[in-house]
Amino acid sequence: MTPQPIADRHELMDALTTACELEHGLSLQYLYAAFTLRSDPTDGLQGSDLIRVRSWAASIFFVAAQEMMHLAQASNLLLSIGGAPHLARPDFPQPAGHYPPDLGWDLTGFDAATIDRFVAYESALPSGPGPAWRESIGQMYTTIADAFEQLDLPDDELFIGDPGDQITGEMVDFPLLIEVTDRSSAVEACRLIMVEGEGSPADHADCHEGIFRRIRSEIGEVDEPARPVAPNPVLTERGGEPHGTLVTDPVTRAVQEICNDAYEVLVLALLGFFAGGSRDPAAPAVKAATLQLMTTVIRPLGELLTRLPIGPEHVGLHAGPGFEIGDTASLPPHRDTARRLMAERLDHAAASARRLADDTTLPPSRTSVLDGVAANLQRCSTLLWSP
Amino acid sequence: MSTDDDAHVHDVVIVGAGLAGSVIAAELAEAGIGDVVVLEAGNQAYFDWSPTHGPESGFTDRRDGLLQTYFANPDKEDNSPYPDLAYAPSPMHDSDTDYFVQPPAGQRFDSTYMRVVGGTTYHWLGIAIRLLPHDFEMRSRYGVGVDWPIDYEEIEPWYARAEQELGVAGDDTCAGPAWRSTPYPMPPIPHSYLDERLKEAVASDRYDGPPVEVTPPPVARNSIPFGGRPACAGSNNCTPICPIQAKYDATVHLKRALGQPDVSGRRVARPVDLRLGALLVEVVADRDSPQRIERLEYIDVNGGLTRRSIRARTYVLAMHAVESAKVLLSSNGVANRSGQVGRNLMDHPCQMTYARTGPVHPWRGPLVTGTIETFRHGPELRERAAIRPEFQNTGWSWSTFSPGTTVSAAIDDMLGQGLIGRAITERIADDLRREVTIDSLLEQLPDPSNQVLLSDDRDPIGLPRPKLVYSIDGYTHAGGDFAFGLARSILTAMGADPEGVAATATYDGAGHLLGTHRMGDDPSTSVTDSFGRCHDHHNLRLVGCGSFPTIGTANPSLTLVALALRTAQDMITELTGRQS
Repeated sequence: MTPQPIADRHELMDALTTACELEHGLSLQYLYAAFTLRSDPTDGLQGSDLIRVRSWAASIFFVAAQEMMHLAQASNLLLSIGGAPHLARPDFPQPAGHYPPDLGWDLTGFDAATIDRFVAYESALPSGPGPAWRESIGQMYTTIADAFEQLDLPDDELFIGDPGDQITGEMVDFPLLIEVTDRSSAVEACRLIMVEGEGSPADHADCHEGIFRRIRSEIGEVDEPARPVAPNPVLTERGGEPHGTLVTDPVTRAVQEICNDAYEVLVLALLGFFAGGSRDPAAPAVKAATLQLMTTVIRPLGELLTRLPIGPEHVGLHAGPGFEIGDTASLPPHRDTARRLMAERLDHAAASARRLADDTTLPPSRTSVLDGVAANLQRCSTLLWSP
Repeated sequence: MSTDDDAHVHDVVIVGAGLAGSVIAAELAEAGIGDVVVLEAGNQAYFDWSPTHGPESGFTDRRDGLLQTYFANPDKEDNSPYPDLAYAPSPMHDSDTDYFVQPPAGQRFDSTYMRVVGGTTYHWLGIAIRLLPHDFEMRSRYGVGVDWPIDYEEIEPWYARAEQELGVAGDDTCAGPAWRSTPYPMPPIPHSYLDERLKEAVASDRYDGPPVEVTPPPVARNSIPFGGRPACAGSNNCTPICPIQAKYDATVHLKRALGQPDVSGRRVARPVDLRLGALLVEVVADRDSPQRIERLEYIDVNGGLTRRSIRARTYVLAMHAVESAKVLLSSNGVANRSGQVGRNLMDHPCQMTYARTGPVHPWRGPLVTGTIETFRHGPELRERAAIRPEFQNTGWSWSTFSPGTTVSAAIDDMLGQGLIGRAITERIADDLRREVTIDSLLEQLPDPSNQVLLSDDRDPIGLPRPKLVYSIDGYTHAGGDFAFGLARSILTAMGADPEGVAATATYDGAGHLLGTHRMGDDPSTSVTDSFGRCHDHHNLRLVGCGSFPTIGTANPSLTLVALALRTAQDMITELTGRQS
């Protein structure tokens, strides 16, 4: 098959929308694996094993954070040509063929197979036949960069997005983030994503692929570095059949519901921020809320879920954060209303966390996490909306 | 001891596999200088390497053992993770076990170093900041100190290379008077929560003229993956050891010199020959041609204590300001016609001010992520020392040894009030999260009476221990007083009770040992030229912080590397007869 270049704005928007979903989905898969690592001193590992596992966790969290930056970068590219920010994505799992490269999407715990898949995601090697931009992530961005350089439109007709909507590095604490306002900044943005993902001819080590290859080469040094988790834990069923591993333990389900609620609010808050909300007077508070939701709510809940049983059908396996987005998740156009609704969701989630924390059947190590999460959810709610 | 001569004449012998020695070794190896030997007192490399496997050693970093030593050591200080070699002790902060000979009371020289493979960069903070243009011209501009034989214009390209070599993360918009020809290789390390609260508190403030601006200091600590090493994970443990080598240390260049491929898979042209457990004791000048060094005498500790000689076309001493001076002073006047060897010992005395403010949640992130750079220059330097305040992300650890002291004080107080249980833990948590220490590096001027001498006391294998004579003059104290006033105003702006702002009784050392073989144009007042070549001996180079004529307020390692790179190029030109 002859590689097909991107022909027009519509196809470029398609490719960039896919890019946004891709970066979003990669980030979540990396987080899921990192949450399963036994990186706490109470997890049974000691000494050099613990240090090794913590360094893996740190590296994976770093890559996941850079994928979030790539999501913001892809969003800037999309907005520059008149597109709308895109944070929707289908729930896990996704079969092979849905995204470039031609690999499935799954939330799986840290092990050799998972890291092999991560290497493949980030690899520069094409994975199969198809349109040029679907062969590998790097090829996708090469094709996008080519389109920005070659589309037969005058600059002022190609870049019809409002430059004021561009997210700056300062706004999101990613100093390398590029504002896309012309062809050269667009190409530079694509190049940055490619170099961070698959490296450059001069440096194959300091990129996502290199990081995952390094972790892969070290995996054999630690016995059982991760907690055993089920793949793709889900709370819902499609057509009467669970599409992932159904969570049946009632306490675990309750924790996962709180985690999903927080994640959904996070996505909506980011969507508002990317859609011009960065110029809103409330933007600093929204930014603070999103950061705190990630680090003080979703991370501790994600790690807690990998310590909780998924259900009696899967003895010995734990759950994990499913990152499910409800079908009704949407952002009202009025910013105040949107923030009010998001705060209300977090209030409910905080109340649920507090009720669970008061459950005397849970061990103190679990209730203390839920106690802290309840307080953090409440703080995020106040940041988003204070009457 | 027996004498065992290595009669072969090598191209270069470098003594010391720390920062300066490793950088020069890598440069020479890269240039294909054929026969370079590195002598190192330390007896063990903390990475996969053996002389027999050479470039195929693997070079995987192995610092796990150092971390275990640190965890197990009840004394948590800079040198705690590292071995104190029986045959080559390292100085310690504890006066009872100290290798230095110093008066028991009064102002002591408080900085240490390590005699291990990789040197003291294992426990450096990682600040990689440039001197400012005026720092090279203190005598001309302010009438104090001395001028350097080179200016900022000359060293700037070498700073740029040094930043690339170490991997420096910095903010290109914060250069100040130190203009830059290139961007930093990496974006800055993000500010800590403490820094953000500081910035809020001092926004648009001025103090005695200059603005109080909190900026991220440039650091040789990865903010993104660089050089095959990971990004900083905020372990809050840069000193005494970065657990994941996100912070640069000299083993990066040492491994490269030994043949480790770089990130593109390229190896140096000619790997160097590293010899461990080699303790330099004397530099011997040619009897008939004293401007030429004839050989080095060292003790080989492998399998006993054997005295050996080694010869080369060029010798490089890179053993740190105290050890290099000590050996030269033991070498029958070698390099010392000026009488300046061992003199002008300097450090950056640290004025520490501390208080409890609003919550800042310390003990997260690298140790320092915010500094104020605006008090490093100005006409005031005619009267008082320049200062450079840093904000510690470690509460009162440095100033009062918190959290231990904070916990015990809280328990004492609460028991006295009859409260127990949760009230105590909440009090401790509240105290700890509000602790702020501001340490200001103070400039110290060269003073010939501050010096390294040879003590009559001997180390375990009979070599003289370094005797240090050291004091801090009124110029530096005036800077310290100014620093306290500035720090108090900042802490008060952050919500501290003015009555609760305190300062430590004495200045701590910054771990910067400088000035003992300073460079200069005049052979009567300096030991080397600007390329580290001894005025007295054309084939002896002295490198490292001992070369600094003055020290400004910049942590010295970046300047050390810039000078080492410049020296290396001069050596390559000399050894090959061609421009590198």
